Amino acid sequence: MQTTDIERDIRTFLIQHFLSGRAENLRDDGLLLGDLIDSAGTLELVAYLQEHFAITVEDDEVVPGNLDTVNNLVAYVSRKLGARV
Amino acid sequence: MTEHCGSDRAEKIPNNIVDVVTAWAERSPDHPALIETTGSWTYGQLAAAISVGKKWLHELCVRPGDRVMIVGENCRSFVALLLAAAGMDAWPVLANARLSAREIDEIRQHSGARRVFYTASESTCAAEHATRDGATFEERDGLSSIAVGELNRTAEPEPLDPNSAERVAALIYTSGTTGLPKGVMLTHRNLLFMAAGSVQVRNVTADDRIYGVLPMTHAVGLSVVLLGSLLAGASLYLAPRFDPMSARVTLEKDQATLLFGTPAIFNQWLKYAKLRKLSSLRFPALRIISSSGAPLDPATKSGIESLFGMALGNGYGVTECSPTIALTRPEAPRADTSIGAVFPGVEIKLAGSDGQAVAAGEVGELRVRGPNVMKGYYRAPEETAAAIDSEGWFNTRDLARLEQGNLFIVGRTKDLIVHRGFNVYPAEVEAVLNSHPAVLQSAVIGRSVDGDEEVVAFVQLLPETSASSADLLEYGARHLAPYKRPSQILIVPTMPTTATGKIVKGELARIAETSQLC
Repeated sequence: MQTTDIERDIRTFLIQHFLSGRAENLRDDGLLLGDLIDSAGTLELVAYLQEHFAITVEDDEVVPGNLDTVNNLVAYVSRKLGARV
Repeated sequence: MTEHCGSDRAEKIPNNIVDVVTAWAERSPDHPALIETTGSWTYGQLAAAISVGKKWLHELCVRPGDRVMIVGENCRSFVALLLAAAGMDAWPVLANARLSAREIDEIRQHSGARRVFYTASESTCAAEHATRDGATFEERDGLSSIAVGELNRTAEPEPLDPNSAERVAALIYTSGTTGLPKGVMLTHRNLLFMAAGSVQVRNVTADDRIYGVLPMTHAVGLSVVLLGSLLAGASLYLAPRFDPMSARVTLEKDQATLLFGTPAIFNQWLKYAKLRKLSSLRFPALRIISSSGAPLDPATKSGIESLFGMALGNGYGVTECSPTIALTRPEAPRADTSIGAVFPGVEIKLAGSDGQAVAAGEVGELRVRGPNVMKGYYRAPEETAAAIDSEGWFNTRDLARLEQGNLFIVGRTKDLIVHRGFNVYPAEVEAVLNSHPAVLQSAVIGRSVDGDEEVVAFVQLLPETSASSADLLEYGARHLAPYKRPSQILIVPTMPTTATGKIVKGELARIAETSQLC
């Protein structure tokens, strides 16, 4: 899967689930965890990542460095997919 | 009827909340006090950080009686600043960094804060507020980067109560039924009474390791979790926000012994178990799990007890009562969702509409009297007089009944929604929505969902204007903390009203419960 596809899919999910479809409100550098996404949303995000990208998000990987911004999310998923390959 | 549980702890409680640290710093300076992902402090190091904080406050022209606003999330610096301010008889004004700019500004203005601090390096939300305020970012020995707002030269210090235990140790704001902010003044005596009682009921000792995710800007996180932990000399693992994945890692690695949460947090545990396909989640070191902040529904209780393999305690309180009024006892777990027996040292009365105690077993409005009742609402004597009568009884405006010494909450007479353990006052949300240029009027109600209450808004637009639900949701998000934001906004052509024009919220609630709303 290409990184651009990963980013597109992640953006689509975030916009649809947390921004009521308002794409213009998704900031590249904006915080996700604790801001856009509350604790209930974190579980939804993890469930989505696992199901959509067929990866396992380990408990100790739920950290700001992996999930806190769009860019971090894309990089994290890319690493997981790359590692699996 | 009235109930009173005796307590003989008064003589053991210090006069200032900072004294709980001083004692342990002398006795066990190397014992872990506060632990977070970025590092930890022993009791000795925490005492040192508090000293640094006090010196800094003096340099910044803070005086006894000044209000010192601290905008932050759970972190060591927040604790150090809070205790430093309290230790020099300033009034800490505690503000959750996740509040909106409007809410932060309202609190700052009402409190007349001398200085505002932002725990910027540990909270991106606090850093954003700091930047907006034009605060100066500084680092001090032992404290991480903290931003400081400009000196408020017009601030007047409040006079000090001659009884030091009756001085204000924390000012916590709640919106109230009018939608305007009310500052609840909690004294050192209030908070330490609560901490000591909680420690006694749960038998907390220095060997305990407590998972502290409940925000310390709110009463239970402050008195029960933080001060209870420090009073007992225990170790507190701080987390700024909850997610079950991170919590599980901490509980396993650090072998937490006490876990506090709201029903919403415990529901997240259940959803996590479903995601991970777990029927059992056991933490061998965990000895107490306890829910508070919102009504606990039976399904959540039984689900958690099955998952964790242990009883889930329940408790009830309000900010104005520091906060705990009743809680179940660990040695006598209950199968139902009673909020338990009255907190030790507190009196309660169930009153009828005439203010007199109702007969045994009858439902009445819950009144509370004791060392846990607040000093009052700051700069609001009329509101204080309306809440606390001449005999010291505080009116919770919740309806309850008593069965064999255990309380059950059966309803409320105040207009309040409890969402994820946080109080949401419809009047405040309505005021925000009504300020939108397209809105004629709005009505906000709670809707029960999965053991929680969602915030749902009905909006009627002005003629010849247009705004979508998405527009209004976005508008609300700009002006309200996340937990206050409506999960749904419905635009309606008219509102159901009485003959005098008052909106009938009961009818809206019926629509919300019975319609196809999703």
